[in-house]
Amino acid sequence: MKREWVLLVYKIPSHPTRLRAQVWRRLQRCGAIYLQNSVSIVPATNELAENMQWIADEIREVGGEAYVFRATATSPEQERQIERLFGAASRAQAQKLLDALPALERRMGRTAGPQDLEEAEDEVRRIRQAALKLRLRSHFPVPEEEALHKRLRAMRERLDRRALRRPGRR
Amino acid sequence: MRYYTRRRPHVDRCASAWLLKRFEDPKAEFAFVEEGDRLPGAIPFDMSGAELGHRRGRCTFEAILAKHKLKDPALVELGRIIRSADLLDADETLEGPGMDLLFRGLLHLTQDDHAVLALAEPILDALYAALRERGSRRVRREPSRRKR
Repeated sequence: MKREWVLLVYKIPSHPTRLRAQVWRRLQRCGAIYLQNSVSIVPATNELAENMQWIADEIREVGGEAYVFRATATSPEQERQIERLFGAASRAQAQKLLDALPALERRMGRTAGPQDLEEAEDEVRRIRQAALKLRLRSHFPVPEEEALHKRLRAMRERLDRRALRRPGRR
Repeated sequence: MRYYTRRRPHVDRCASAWLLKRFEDPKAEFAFVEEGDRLPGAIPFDMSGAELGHRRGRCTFEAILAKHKLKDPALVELGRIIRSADLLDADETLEGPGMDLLFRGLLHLTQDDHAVLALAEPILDALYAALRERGSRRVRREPSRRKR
C-alpha cells in the first residue's frame, strides 16, 4: 500500500530568529522530520495534516512563505527510505535518553545516600516524561524506545524497593 | 446563528461548537464543509483565515473565548487543554495528549459529523464540571493551609 505524506515547504524571515525556532518546535511536536532545510514531512493523518496547515498559516502571518502538499513516493524504495529516516530520528532521540542512564544507575549504586536516591528519582521521572513525549510523536516506533521504557520501569522499581528499606522516609 | 467548519471535527472543532452552544448561543446550528468552501450568511470557525481560528499559537476555542470575552477560569483552563490536545503540545498540559486520543477515537465511532458533536457534548460538560470543581477546591484550600 502506498503511504501518503504531508510536506511543508517554507521560507521564514531570518529576523527575529525566534520565529525559526518556534516553527522548528511546532514541527518537532508533530514528530515531523526534515528532508532538506525547510522541507519537512509527516505521515498524512488528519490531525498531522491539519497541524501542518496551521503551521503554514502562522508562517505566512509573520511574513514568510509556506506550501503544504500531499504526496506519495514514486517508488517503494523511496517510501522505505522515508520510513527509515523517521525511524532514525526516533532512534536518535531514544538513544540520547538511553545514554543518560548508565551514569544515573551508577549514582543509584550500593553506596548511594538518601540525597543521591532522591536526586536519582527526580532524574528518572524527568527522563520518563521525555520518553513518554517521544512516544506521542513517534510515527514509526523503533526497538530502542521499548528498551528505554523497560529500563526506566526497572530503575523506578529499584528506587521504590530502596525507599521501602529506608526507615523513616515515606 | 449558523456556524460552519471543516468536516470530520477533531477536538478543537468539537469543543468550539460546544462552547458556542453552551455559552453564546443555545440555538447555534452547525454545518460542515470541505476545506476552502464557504457558506454565505454563516460564521466559519477553525478554518484557514477565519477570525475564529488559530492565532499566534492559540487554538480556535481560545479565539472564541477572547472574542466573546468569556473569562470563567474553568473555560480558560479548558482552552489550554484543548490547545495542548489540538497542537500536540504535551508541555502545555498533562490532560492534552489524552484528550487528543479520545477525540480521535470519536471519529471512528460514526461517519456522521453531527453525531460526533453530540458524542462530544457530555464529555466536554463533564470536563468543564471537573475543572470547575478543581478550581473551587484550589481557592478554598489556600487559607486553611496558612492556619496550620
